[in-house]
Amino acid sequence: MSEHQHEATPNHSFGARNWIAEASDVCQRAAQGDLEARVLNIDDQKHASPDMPELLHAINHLLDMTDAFVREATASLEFAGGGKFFRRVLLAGMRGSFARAAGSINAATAQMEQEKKALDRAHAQRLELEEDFNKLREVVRALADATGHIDLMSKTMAKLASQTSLLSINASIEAARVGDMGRGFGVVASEVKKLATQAASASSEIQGRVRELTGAAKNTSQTIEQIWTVIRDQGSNQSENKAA
Amino acid sequence: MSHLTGHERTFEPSEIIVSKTDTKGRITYANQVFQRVAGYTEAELLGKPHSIVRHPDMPRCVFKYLWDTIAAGREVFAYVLNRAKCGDHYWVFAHVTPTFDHHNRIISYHSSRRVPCRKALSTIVPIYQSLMSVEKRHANPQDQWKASLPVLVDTLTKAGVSYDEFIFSITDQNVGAAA
Ligand SMILES: Cc1cc2nc3c(=O)[nH]c(=O)nc-3n(C[C@H](O)[C@H](O)[C@H](O)COP(=O)(O)O)c2cc1C
Repeated sequence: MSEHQHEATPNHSFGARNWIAEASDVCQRAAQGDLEARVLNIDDQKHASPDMPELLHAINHLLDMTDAFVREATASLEFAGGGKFFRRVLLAGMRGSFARAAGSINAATAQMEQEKKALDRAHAQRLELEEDFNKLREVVRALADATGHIDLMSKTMAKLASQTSLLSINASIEAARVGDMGRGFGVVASEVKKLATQAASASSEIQGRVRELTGAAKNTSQTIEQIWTVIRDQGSNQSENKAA
Repeated sequence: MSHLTGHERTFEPSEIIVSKTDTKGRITYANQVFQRVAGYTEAELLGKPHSIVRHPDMPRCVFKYLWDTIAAGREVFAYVLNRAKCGDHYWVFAHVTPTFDHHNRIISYHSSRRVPCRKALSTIVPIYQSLMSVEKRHANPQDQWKASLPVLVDTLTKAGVSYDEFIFSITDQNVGAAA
C-alpha cells in the first residue's frame, strides 16, 4: 500500500519528493470525497523547509477529523434509519462545527426516538381499543341473539293463545249443546277465551318491543363500526407517518 | 518483544488515535497521536500487522468478534488494551469500520480510538479477565477463542442486550466533548 503511494508520487530531481505536489494531490482526492487520502512517510524524509512536515501533518489531521466525523455521522444515521436509536455520534475529539453538527444529529436522533416511542404507545393503545371493540361487538351480538329467542318464544305464545281461543270457542259450542248441564262449563270456556285474548295481546306487545330492541341493536352495531372506521383510519395515518 | 513495564500511558480526550489498514490488517496509515502514544515511528508501523500493538492481556475472542464484524461490512466498537513499544500499556475505546469502493466492496479498514472513561473500564476489565481465564485453559489460539466467545455471547444474552447496546450503555458519550 505504501509502495503504491510512492509510485503515484511525482519525484523531483535527486530522488527527493515533491511535497507540495503530493500535498495538493491528497487535498484534491479528499475534495473528490476520497477520505482515504493521506500524506505518508513524512518524518523520515528530507524537507527543504522545517515548516513543511508541520503543514503535511496538519493536512492529515484535518482529514482524520473529517474522516472520523463522516464515519460517525453515517453510522448514527444508518442505525436511526433502521429504527435503532442508541447509536449516537461520539462527541469525543470533535471540536467546533464538527461538535455542533454531531450535537444536532444526536438531538435529532433523540427526538426521533421520542416520536417512535409515542407511535409505539399509540399503536399499543389501538390494539387494546380493537380488543375492546371486539368485546363490544360480542355483547351486541349476544343481545341480538337473546332478542331473537324472545321473539320466537312470543310467536309460540301467540300460536298457543290462538289455539286456546279456538279450543274455548269449541268448548262453548259443546257446552251450549248439552243445555243447562253445560252452563258452568260454558262459563269456564269463556274465561279461558278471555285469558287467551290477554295472552295474544301480551305476545303482540312483546313482539313490538322485540322489534324496537332489534332496531336498537342494529343501530348500536352500525355506530360501533363507524367509530371503529374512524379510529382505524387514524391508526393507518399514524403508520404512514411512521413510514415517511 | 513482549516485555511489559506495568506503566500506563494516556492521551488527551480531545485527541483521537487513527490508523488505517489493508484488508489483511497491515497498517497503511498511523497518525501522529498513534506514533506518539505507541512509541513507534511511522516507518516502523507502515506495512506491519496491527497486532504490533497487541497486549497479551487482551482476550482473543474480542479480536475474533472484531474481525467477523468488520469483514461482514459493519462497524464495531471495542475497549482495547494496547502495548506500546517500550512495554507500557494504554487503554483505548476503538471504533473500527470498513471502507467501501463504488461497488460496495471492502477495500480497507479504519480505526479511530478515543480515551475510554474509567467507569467503562471498571466494567470491562473483569469481563476480559474472566474471558482470559477461559482462554488460558487452551494452548491453541483457535481453541482459545472458540472457548471464550460463547462465554462473551452468554454474558450479553443473560443481560438481554446486543454487543453494541452493551458497549454504548457503559460508554459516556460526552467524554472529550468540547464544552
Ligand atoms: C483497523 C484495525 C485496527 C486494529 N486495531 C488494533 C489495536 O489497536 N490493537 C490490537 O491489539 N489489535 C488491533 N486490531 C486487530 C489486529 O489486526 C489483530 O487481530 C489483533 O491484534 C490480534 O492479533 P493476533 O491474532 O495476532 O493475536 C485492529 C484491526 C484493524 C483491522
